[in-house]
Amino acid sequence: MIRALAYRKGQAATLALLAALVTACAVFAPFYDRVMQQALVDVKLTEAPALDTSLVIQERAVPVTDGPPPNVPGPRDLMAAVPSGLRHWFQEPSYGWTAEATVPHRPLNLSGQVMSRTEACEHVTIVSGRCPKAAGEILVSVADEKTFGYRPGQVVPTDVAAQAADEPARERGLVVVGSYREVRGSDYFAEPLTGWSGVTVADVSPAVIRHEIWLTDDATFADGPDALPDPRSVAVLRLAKDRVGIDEIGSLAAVAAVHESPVLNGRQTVPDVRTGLPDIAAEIASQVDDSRVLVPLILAPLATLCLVVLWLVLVTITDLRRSEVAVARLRGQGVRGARRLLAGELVPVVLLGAIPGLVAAVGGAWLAARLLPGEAGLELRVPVLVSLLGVLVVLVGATWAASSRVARTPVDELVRRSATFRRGWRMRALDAVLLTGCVVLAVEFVTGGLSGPASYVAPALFALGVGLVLAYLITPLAGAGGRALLRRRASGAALGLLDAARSQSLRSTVTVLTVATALTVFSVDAVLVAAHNRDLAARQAAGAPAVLQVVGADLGAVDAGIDRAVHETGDRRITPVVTIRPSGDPSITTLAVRPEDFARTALLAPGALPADWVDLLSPDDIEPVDLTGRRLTVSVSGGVLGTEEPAVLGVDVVTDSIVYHRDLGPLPASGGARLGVDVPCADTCHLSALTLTGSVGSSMSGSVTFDRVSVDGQPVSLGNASTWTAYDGDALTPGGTDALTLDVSTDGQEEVATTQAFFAGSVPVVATAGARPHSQDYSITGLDGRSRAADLAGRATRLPGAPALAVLANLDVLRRASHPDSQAVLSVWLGDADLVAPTRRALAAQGVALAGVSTLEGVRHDLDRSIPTWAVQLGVVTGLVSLLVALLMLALTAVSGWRVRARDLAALWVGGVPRGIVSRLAVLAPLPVIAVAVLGGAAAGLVGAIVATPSIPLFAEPPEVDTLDLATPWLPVLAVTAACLLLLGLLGAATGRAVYRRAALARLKEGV
Amino acid sequence: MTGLRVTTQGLVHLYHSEGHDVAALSGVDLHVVGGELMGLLGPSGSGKSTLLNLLAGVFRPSAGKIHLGDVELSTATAHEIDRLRATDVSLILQSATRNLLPYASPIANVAFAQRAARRAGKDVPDPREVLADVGLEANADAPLPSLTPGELQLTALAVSLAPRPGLLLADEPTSQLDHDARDRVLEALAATSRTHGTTVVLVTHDPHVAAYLPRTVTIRDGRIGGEGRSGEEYAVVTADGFLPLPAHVRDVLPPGALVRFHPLDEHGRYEIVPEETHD
Repeated sequence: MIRALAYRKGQAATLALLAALVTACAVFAPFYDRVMQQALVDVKLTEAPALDTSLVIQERAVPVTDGPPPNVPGPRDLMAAVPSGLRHWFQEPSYGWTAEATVPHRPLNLSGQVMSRTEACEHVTIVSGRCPKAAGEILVSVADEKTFGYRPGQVVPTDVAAQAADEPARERGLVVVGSYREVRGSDYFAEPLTGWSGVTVADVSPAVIRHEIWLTDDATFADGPDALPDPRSVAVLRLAKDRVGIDEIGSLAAVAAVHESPVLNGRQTVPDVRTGLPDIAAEIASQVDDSRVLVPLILAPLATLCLVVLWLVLVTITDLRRSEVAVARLRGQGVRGARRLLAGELVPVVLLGAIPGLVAAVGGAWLAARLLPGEAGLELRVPVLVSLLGVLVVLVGATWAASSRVARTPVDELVRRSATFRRGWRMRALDAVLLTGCVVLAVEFVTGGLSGPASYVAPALFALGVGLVLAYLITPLAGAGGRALLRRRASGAALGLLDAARSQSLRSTVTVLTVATALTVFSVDAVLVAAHNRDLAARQAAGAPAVLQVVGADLGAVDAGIDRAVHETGDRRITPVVTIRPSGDPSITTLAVRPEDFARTALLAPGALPADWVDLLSPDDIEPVDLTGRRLTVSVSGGVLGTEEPAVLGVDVVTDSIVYHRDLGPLPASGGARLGVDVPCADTCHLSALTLTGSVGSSMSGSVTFDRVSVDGQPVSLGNASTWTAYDGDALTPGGTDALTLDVSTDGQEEVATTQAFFAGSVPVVATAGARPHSQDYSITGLDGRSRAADLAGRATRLPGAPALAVLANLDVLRRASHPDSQAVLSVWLGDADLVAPTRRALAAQGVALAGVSTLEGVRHDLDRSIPTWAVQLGVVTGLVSLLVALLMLALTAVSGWRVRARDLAALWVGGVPRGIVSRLAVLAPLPVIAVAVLGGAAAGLVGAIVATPSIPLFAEPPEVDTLDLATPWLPVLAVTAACLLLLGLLGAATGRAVYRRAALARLKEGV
Repeated sequence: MTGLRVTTQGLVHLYHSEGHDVAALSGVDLHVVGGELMGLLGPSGSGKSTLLNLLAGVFRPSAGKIHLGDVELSTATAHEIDRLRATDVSLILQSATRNLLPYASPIANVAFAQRAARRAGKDVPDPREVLADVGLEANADAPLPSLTPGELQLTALAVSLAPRPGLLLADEPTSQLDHDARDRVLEALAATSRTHGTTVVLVTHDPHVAAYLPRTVTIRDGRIGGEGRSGEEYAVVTADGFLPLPAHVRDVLPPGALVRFHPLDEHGRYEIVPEETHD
């Protein structure tokens, strides 16, 4: 066997390399699949907030209207709710208590939590003082220490729980024993302890200022008359992430069962279980399901190509051993003996080739495990062993089958001095079946009839069809071309074409090169399109290179912080954005921005917004009516009659975006009057509206003129009547200099108003497709959550950082008569991630706390860490291996046919063709065939990519806003095609040159 | 070991080519006694190689019978033919390298050729002994590319003799050899017949080789056209009474010529008298 291998080293090496490739692909797939899944688990569990990966069980007393609250069971009793089989996945639980700690304070109370946990002090950094050891002792955060001036030894008065509904408020003192700093990255408490010291919470009544979590001893929560309000016993089970892999993740779904545990029922207490593990487990399970489809399907075309080439190689190699089979048959060894002869030589080769293939697969998987996130190691599992066994069976089976094919050849054919070759257009039955199947599938594929997983293999089948057609066309075309050139005496080119036309391996070479190039181009296209779309989705989701989420809605403080940051950095790409996402489905989100700053800061998709959108959203040049003083007076004349009571005249004044309404009094039934009212305008405010209010359900009619408006005796100009907008149906006319006349006629409308244009109702907006008006009454949600009339100024395909249904509005216009409420999410968008630190500092200096920071890189990073991404990235392997297979095929063609070609070249030389021409012929002859196959394959790959890419899942979850862009990345695709052309061409020329060197006259004496 | 007796009766072989049947052999009756050394002569395309392949079981005859010893080859199963090739019938193809495993040494080739015989239970000689029979003991382990054409042909001969067959069929065993090599091969073939009693049938174009052989049979147009014994040429009457004319007589008696047979004497000699034709 060794001698046999040594005799045809090139063939053996090619076959072994191909076997290695097949083995590597087959074994790498399950390894990679497993590594991906483990990486996914690691990513999901690592990146999820501690609260989501922990199981937090709390129990609090049911609020009672009378009498003391019922006793709450101790923290350790809560563990009864956790099934014993589940505890293995968690670390040792920590126990403790949590209660509300409200400190009477002016003007606003301080509110927050006080908590105890097992060994809490060991999981924070104590900056000053000591750990609480007794009831009533607290450790405050360093931020609270700074914000509220707490010092060790200070007694902080705190409300205690009322024992009865009519009990007057009582307090107890909590003694500050020190301060702590939270350990960054620690998940011990399963929730953040700090980050909101001094933040005003206005959307609760009454508004409060928040303090951070205070740590204390369990004894602080003892029952009694001084018990703190709303005490909860707490058990925290933090996930032991190193014990949880892909095989265990399903068990975590059982955590959901704790929610329904009956153990805690039957008491006058409320169990509360918090965990995100079931959701995480469900998301991982969903992506794992994707991987089970994606990985095999992405590798299936490659595996098919490898197997086809393996078969072609085996057929070629065994055909080259026909004379040896003939020897065996003539010596009476029969079919079995002849097969043994071939298989005995070739099976060891493929088995030896499988060894480096296995090593390559393990190495590749190891590399993948290092490149993918997480600490996933290589696991030798059943699927890997099954794949290895399967590929060995396939390799040996294919070798055995190819050996049998030749061994069964009748002896008379074996001893024939030259094989009979078919010429012309006759198609083999197998090719015909393949071609028919490919054409049918291609038609289905192109017409969209093929969807889902089948569409992933369609490009390969389509390429196979193209390859077969090219293979059958190229022989007669090359022959005809060669003869035509010969007639024109272009002997060099003619001989090249004729040489190509009579090549016995031409069809299989063309088919394989076409399919391999198509797969390479398709893979590159798919990988780049997927990366491009992840980038687009990340830019859309992030909105800006960095976004700081602000706690609270103090736009004034944020503006001050931004001014400071701009001043310090000299970078103007820092801008506030208020997002109002009303409840309801569907709802239209309002993105309130400062257009010019937003334009330079946000990641705007080209063409997504109208070119002049900044101008469209810019405020008009109408000036507001300024009031400075305390007493507003106005003269009224005419009369508006209500059906029951006289209408009451009122004014709306705006200061700091807050609207204050003041009534001046009832209008006189007839004649004139001068009415006055106190207004909160000592530091200047704006007059936004004049109102007339009747009784509920009443009608009003008449005409009233307002003039001689003054504040503290100083006249105020109302401006032109055109700067005022009347209520629909009411007439508004100039009533003379700085006078307005309002004609009123209402039926059941209790209030009418005329609004100053600076605060006028309609806000210009740029809206996405789904957010455009469906009726004339178009409105958006304002900063205060109320509906605001809007004008559609422009259309957008999408808005950065906003959902699909969204409008873009000018923040300063919206802010004129309203301010952000608790529904509004205030954020600061930055044009560069490097601005995060200085902006954070500037905002902190203004007392603005951050709820979080998101960056484009972070969003992109999250999107990159998913099964679909990792699976599609396998395309890189597919592309490279496909190209390698093409190179191998070309090498094999040269290795297997060099004797015949060398003899042909020698014959040309002897026949009088100059050596120079013979040399050029040897080098250049393979190139036209390679060019045709590569270009045909590239075209087939491109068509396949265009049609199939929409079916490939690019994301684990579809993005909220569709940013899909499947345009072909022409430059890389052309570069890859050129690279295929260059590499294959160089190899073709090099093998041609090598054959030429062997084209000695002695070759002519050799048998076939 | 005694050589196999070879007998063919009315052997016909047709080739199918492009929709037509072409008769390569048109009723060949041949008898070769065991241990005989004989040659098949004839022009290219006459059918001599076809006859050799039919005798080797490579082709199945279209009609007629072939007896190799007691085996009727035309009705033998593939297994029976394999067994015959393993033990009793060896064929040497034209061009020595076609009979050899190219990567194996002479001794390995001989050993390979003995495998089937051994498996069939036949007692075969040591490979070195076989190589010694053809004078190649010194080259037993030499790589094939290092051998001369004559040595290669002798190796092919050794391989075919490896199982000590009863019938050795050789197609042009001396073609492309120089005189010395040719003579060595002929000597080896003769020695085989002489020493081991092997029946040897070889095809040749070479008149020197034909002259060396005690008996030659000339195939012409798919029939036996003559026979030479010890340098004397004979026409052979076929089983159905036809008498192929020697080539030089055909010029005198073209197709369609009428002849009469006149007895000359009591020894059974006849005179062939052409009849003049009248147009």
